[in-house]
Amino acid sequence: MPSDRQIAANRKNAKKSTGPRSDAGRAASRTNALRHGLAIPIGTDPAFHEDIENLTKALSRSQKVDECAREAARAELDLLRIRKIRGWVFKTFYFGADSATSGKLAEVTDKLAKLDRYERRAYSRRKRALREM
Amino acid sequence: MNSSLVTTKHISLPTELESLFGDVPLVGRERREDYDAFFSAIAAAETPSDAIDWMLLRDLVDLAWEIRRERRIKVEIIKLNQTEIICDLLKSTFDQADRLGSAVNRIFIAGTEAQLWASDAETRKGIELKLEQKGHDPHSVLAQAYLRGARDIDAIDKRIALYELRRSAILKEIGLRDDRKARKLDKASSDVIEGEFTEAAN
Repeated sequence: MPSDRQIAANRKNAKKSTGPRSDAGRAASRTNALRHGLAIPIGTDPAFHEDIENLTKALSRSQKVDECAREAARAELDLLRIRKIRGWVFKTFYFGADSATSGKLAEVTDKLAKLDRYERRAYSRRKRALREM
Repeated sequence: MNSSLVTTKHISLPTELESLFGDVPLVGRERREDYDAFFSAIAAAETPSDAIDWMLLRDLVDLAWEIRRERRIKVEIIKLNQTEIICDLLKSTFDQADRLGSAVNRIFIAGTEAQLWASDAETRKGIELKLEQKGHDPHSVLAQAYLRGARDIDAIDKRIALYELRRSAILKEIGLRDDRKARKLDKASSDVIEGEFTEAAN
């Protein structure tokens, strides 16, 4: 556990950081969260609003739409998004290649491992929401 | 497609869910008709009664489909490594008396023969007999193929184990809603995965 003094020093040092300074650095960091879009909550993306509402209505057990159904819908759409990206990874890095080599498979494995973190969270969110419904 | 997947009853998603769940991420030589048959084979065990049921079923089917995909890739990797090992062995056991070829010929012929080993049953028998006489039986070739692809095979096995865990978690969710339904879906999804794997391994 860091001491109060260390925490204060970390905060003070962090304030000195201005992030990337060069134009190239700023341009690169601007798209950090957009590589696959999974770091951004699905609810903030207008492209998914209609799907979220439609699935929320379908999942709601009564005429009254509840917040748990909405959360389950968001998590489910996240899972479908992740599955699509997983398919894309296979298509691009494995099936798209001339022949399967160990290097290509290692790349697939690496990318799929990164997706797993998001998938695990989406499953937990959906499970919690379904149990609360 | 394995006959175990053939179902007389085609089960499709309700219209209100079609636009949400209708898109299937297929890769390589996977076909929509096969996915639909796969879906119907599992759904036929217990037709969903509401949107939550459909959502959980879709998950169960997709995980089973991905397990099948990973198993096929694993078989593909083993076959590819076996072919490479056969090629290496043919190069190292090349009989100078058989052919008057140069080193280039030796490499070229070994490559062609290894490809034939992978695609033609008759040639395969002949090559295996030739290699066996020189102390390389098919079991040792298979063992070497596993060793060569160990890292990739291990990664695939870990992913399959993860998908199996998730499949169990979904069946548990279904079981909380209806235990009998979960047992039927468990059996149906296991049957189609195993059926497909037997097909892929042959």
